[in-house]
Amino acid sequence: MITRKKSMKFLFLLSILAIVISGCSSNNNGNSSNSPSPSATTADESASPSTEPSEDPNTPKVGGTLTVSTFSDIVSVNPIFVNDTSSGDMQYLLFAQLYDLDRDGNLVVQPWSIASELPQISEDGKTYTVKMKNTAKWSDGQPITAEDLVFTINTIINPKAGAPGISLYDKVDKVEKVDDYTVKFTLKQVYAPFQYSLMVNPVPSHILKDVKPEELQANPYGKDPAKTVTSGPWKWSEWKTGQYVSLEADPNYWGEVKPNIQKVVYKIYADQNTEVQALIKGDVDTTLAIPITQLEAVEKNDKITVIKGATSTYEYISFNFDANNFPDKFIPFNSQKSRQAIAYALNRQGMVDNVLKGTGALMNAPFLPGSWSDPGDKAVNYAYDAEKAKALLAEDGWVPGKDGILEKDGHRFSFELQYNAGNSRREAVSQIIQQNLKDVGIEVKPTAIDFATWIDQNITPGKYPAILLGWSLSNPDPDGESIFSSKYFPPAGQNNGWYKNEKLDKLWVDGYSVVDQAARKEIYNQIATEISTDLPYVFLYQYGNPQGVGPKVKFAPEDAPEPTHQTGYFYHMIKWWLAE
Amino acid sequence: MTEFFIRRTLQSVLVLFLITLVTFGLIHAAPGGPFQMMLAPGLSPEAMKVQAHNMGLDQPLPMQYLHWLGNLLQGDLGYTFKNHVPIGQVIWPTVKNTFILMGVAWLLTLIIAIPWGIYNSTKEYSLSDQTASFISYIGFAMPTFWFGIILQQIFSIKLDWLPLADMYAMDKEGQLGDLMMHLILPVTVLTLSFLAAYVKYSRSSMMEVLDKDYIRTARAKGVREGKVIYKHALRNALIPVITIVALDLPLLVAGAALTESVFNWPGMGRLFVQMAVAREYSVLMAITLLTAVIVIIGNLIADLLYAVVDPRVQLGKRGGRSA
Amino acid sequence: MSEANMQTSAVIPPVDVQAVKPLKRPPGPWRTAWTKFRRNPYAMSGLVVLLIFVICGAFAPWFTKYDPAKIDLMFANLKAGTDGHLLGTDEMGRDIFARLLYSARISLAVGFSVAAGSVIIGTLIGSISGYFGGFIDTCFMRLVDVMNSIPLLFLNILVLAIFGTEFRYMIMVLILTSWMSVARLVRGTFLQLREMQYVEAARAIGVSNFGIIFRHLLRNASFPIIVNATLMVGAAILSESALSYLGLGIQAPQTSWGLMLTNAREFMLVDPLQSVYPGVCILLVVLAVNFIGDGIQDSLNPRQKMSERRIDRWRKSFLKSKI
Repeated sequence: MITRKKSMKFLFLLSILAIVISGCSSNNNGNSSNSPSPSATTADESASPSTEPSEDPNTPKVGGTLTVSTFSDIVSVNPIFVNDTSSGDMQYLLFAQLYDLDRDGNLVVQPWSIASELPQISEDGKTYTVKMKNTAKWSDGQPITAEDLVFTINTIINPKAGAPGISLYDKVDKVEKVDDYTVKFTLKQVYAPFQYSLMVNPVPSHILKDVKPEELQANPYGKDPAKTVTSGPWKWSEWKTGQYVSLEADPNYWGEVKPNIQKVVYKIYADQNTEVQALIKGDVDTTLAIPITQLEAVEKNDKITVIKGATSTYEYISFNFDANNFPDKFIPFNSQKSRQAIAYALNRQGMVDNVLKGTGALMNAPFLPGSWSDPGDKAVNYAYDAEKAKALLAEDGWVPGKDGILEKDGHRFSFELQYNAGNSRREAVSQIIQQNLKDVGIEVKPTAIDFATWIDQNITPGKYPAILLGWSLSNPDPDGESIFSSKYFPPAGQNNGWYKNEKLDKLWVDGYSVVDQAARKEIYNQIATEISTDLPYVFLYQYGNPQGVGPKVKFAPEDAPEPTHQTGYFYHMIKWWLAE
Repeated sequence: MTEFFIRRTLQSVLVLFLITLVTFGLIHAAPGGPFQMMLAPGLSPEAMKVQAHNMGLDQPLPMQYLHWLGNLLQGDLGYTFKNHVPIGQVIWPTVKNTFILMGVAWLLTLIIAIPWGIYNSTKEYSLSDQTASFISYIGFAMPTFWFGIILQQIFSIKLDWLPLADMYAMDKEGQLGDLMMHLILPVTVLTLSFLAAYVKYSRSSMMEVLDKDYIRTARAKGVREGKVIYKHALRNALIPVITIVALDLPLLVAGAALTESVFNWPGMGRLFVQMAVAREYSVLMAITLLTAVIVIIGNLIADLLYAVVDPRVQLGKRGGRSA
Repeated sequence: MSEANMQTSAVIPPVDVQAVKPLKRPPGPWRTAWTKFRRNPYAMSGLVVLLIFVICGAFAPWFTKYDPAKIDLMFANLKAGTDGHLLGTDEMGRDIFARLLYSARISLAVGFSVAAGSVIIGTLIGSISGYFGGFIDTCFMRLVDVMNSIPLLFLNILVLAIFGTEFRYMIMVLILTSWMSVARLVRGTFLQLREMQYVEAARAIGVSNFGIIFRHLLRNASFPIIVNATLMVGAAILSESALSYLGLGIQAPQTSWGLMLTNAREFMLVDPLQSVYPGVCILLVVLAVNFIGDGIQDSLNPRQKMSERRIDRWRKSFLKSKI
């Protein structure tokens, strides 16, 4: 809803890691991202039911219009400036990526990727050489060359352009064209997650090279369908502001695999309830994020398949360690024991079962369950245990006061927990947190703040006592330096809670300074143990955005939507087809 | 007449000017100003500076205001913050859509309401009159969006007779029949909201006229009742109705934020709500201003119409429409 | 406008001089009105319904043992009547009946505080404007024009989108967008009254300006103001529900009928009854205050059943926040 329906999906490609604040409301589309997860789960859940009927199993059909619903309009599909989910969705369909991800989140070369082989990484881990296909073409017939790629990266890293993805490349020393189809990236230091920064969508330099970087954003490229030369299976035919974006299969598409679906309409609904009802009524073929509150109604309808896998988005409570944010400069949860007590006091499994209705899973560390960096039992799991919480608090010196709220040195254990207004999931969870902590003598005052204001006034400058928020990992790499290291204090960095732990600071650097995955896993396991003991966050759960798929949409099991990817709801859409 | 017209116009221009000040002031009173709101965090300070400069946001406020006003006078509404699309391009198509929706609802209302109200004026407390009363009260007291949602549930989801939302089905853009189907539900909702006022208005206006001396005289002189009503009373009774009609004209463009949102009608009201969510303040300013202009013109027309249809009105005296 | 004259003149005590120091009054306007009001079945039933809601809201804890904000996921989505949950529980295990009761509190509080606030501001501006006249009057009246020219729902959305959706902001913005009719009314009354003899007399005996305003003049405008205020109560409740629907109104854990309606909308397909309860409550309360307002109006001026002016005001205050 409007503002609840202020639920804009904010997808902020943030800082080095491209970790994303998922502030969105109930209705947040999956500003999810890619993280490795066992393909089996999703394949089971998604592809097998009614979407794979027996009558016409393996004969993809060319033709038809796929109507996709969303609730916010695109801003610009120019890949350099894409910064919101809707534009990101369209970018995914309109532009070819240099590299793609497979279902498990590994970098791969697909028939529709621009690269012809995986990047060659030099011995010292600092040079990446990318080879491109020589068949790839822009929709105006020009070849896609090294020139385009170099131009794209150089524009992104040029501060004058104001590209939101600038931090993805801040470890890049230089980008050079080797020959027409080969590009060499040289890094300033070893940085293991860099491979994921190569999932870039090049823009046509022959169109944009004469535009000044600072004027690029105002350029019609990315906003005017006629002037937007693209590289993907579909080309842009129309944009009716606030109503829909429509795409058509590009007859001259260069890839060996051609799209079956001839037309894609990306339709914008002002009201999410109407959106869901349109899905049920059949006006819409797929809804990218069904609000959990509506899930029951959609699931009751046997024509609609609901894909419910967890995404790479997780929610947490972040504590602030800057005393200036508290009355009397007293941080009630300053001791490790008190934070552990809070973790024990919370019924996280209850939240997953009742609020997420089974669309999520518990998390104990900032690494997604099922990914290669999943620490398993290396991270401390705080099972719901109010008695243990009380005991820990007593050990820590807290005694019940007159009103039942704990006190220490004349200070009450009371703090404000902020979340964004209009997000029904966070609203419910904040109220559960309030209740759970009240049971052990801690007073929580949940405050709902308008999302954009909240980000500006509280999150970015790091001014809050405690928040309930989520991160969406835009790529499968476990590196989390930019949100937990004391190098990244606000307002420049993402460590919004001013958390400082020297041991962790060092471990994060170690984690990305080796390229070998086994060695990295070892380090991230150590991080998991340390972080789940010290608890700068109470990690709550990862959650999903159920996608509803109507009866017309068909795909083979291996091409089913993959919730753990960013824009995973369009995973392998080039191979989908429509039945009448 | 001319003097009156000039004075009213000047007044309207003054009001408009004040409105530009109010909207501009409001938006710049936002915590952090509009600038901070529209840039994604994580941009480098240099990038922010460049963007601010590109958008003219680094100038002092009065300069920004003058600049904006100057452009407005040339018909340039400016560009959206987020993607630098000309605002006119965003707004104008919605004006047409809103006009279709509101125009149909409003015409339907007039067609039903005026004859009904006049009929009721001669049949006080009849079943018809009571029904009109009932509908008026309900129409006023019912939350419109709720009514819309209920209609959607019944006629679109349960019975599947009518489309749920939107202006056209996806593949039938521009077809009149399809448009009609899509109009039925939102028009019903809007008509119910409008109807009450117009029925009551034409009824009471008619009754007031019927009570006037000249009608009594006509009756006393033995003029047939039908003739009394349709010849003598009707014209005078319609005068205040016409005024109200003119006063409502702006609604035809300003649109119905709630109804349009419920029915996903691509009009200006829905656009306003969407843009408020997206914090596109420049579009909000433009829409507010545009609707204000239309309201003011509507009021002006109402005044002039009144003067034309009722020559007894003393022109130039505001509030001097005494009978 | 003629209506203004008629209404206000009905309120002026017949013998003006007595206002200074009455010896023995004939039955005052208040008592006469009350006598008539009592005989009006609609008005009385409206009063009874409103009183029931006020009592329910004010003494909500006496009627239910449940805390409306208490979440208990173990008892979510209970059917009506289970475990003493009169109307069942919602998706978070909150008792629906308790929420309705406590919502009455908020919704009525919104209604009455907005009405009261608008009356205070409107009276203040109207009386200053009407009493002093001249430049001050011109300024205030242009302000009224400005406010009347901006679509008010848009203005509400704009302000709440900019400053955030806090309860106090909502009340404030609703007051700031609904004081105009009272101001006009009070000003009109003042313009007439200040020419009258007893004001001259009061001046002659040296009563101060403020004394004059509040002791003598205000009393004469109180009835139309009350009638106007009843409209604003209804309009404010509807506006609140509309804003809550758009996500800009009341925020959880607070609860209001508008918010309940919005939440219920998400469960329309599963549990449509959830949206019926709050919708009916809104409908009833708004109907009740409207009946009361009508009753008061009738008791003052029985000939003028539904005055044009009143319909006009209805139209203005409702349409803008409704469609």
